[in-house]
Amino acid sequence: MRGRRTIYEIYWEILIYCKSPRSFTSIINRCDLNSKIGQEHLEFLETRGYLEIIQEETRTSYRTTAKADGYIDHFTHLYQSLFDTIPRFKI
Amino acid sequence: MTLNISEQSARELRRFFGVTLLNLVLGVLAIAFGLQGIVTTLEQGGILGLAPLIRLLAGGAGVILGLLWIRSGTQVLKGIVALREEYRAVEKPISEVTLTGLIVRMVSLYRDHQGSVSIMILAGTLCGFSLFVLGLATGVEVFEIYNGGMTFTLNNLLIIPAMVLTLGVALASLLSSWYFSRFVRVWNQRLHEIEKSEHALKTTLGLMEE
Repeated sequence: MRGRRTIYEIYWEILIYCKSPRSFTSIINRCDLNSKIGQEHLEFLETRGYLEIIQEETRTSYRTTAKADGYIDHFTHLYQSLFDTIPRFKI
Repeated sequence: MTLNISEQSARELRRFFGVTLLNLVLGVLAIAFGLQGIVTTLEQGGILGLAPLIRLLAGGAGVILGLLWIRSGTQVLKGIVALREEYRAVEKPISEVTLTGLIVRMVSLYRDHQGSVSIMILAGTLCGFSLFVLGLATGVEVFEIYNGGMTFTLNNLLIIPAMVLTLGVALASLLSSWYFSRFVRVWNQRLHEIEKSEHALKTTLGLMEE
């Protein structure tokens, strides 16, 4: 179980996972999504140009495009900056 | 920078694990002392008088709150243990992507257990107060309140170590709740930062233009 995530965290996970081409099934399994929600997220990222569909004979896979780098960098910076504040005490 | 954040998050995870474990131990002790208070009071002849009644109520509260404390603590601990194992399994030095993934997992773990953590703080504090009352009531044989003040008679010297022990556990419970509330303050601040940054992420995704 992945726990409660925001839609932006799920987008980031999909985009990172799809740096190499991935099938729909492997994406929803890895990102712990149901197929309906997974399909919606992939369609959204595709319409934004962050994912491209690769068609190879009967196989369809998704790959993250260079356009997604801005989002991934922004997200990474935001989440890592959360640790600028740490609880300062010892037990 | 990545190494620094990685060390910070690992240290924080370790401390969170330590505080949660301490909470579980204190929960068990709260139940033990609560039960001891109840049994001793009943053995000594029931609930006649104010001091035995207080001992029974405080002991009962200690047991119930201790159970609640342990239940919430176990849920939180399960999540932390899973995350710690994940953290240990990753290759060192940790890459930016892996580190961000672990931070996302930590955030979602906190979101999942926010309620349990709040229950732990509340149960820990109330348990601390109950045990404090129990500790005081353990040593008091007679307690009377007059118009102008109050008097109390302490039980025999053998009771004093038990009283001190109970008070010690009460103090530790209150201290551990205080530690936990410091973690909660920082994590709530982080969740707030995430909510604030969602606007920026929306803009990056081009959703603000719609």
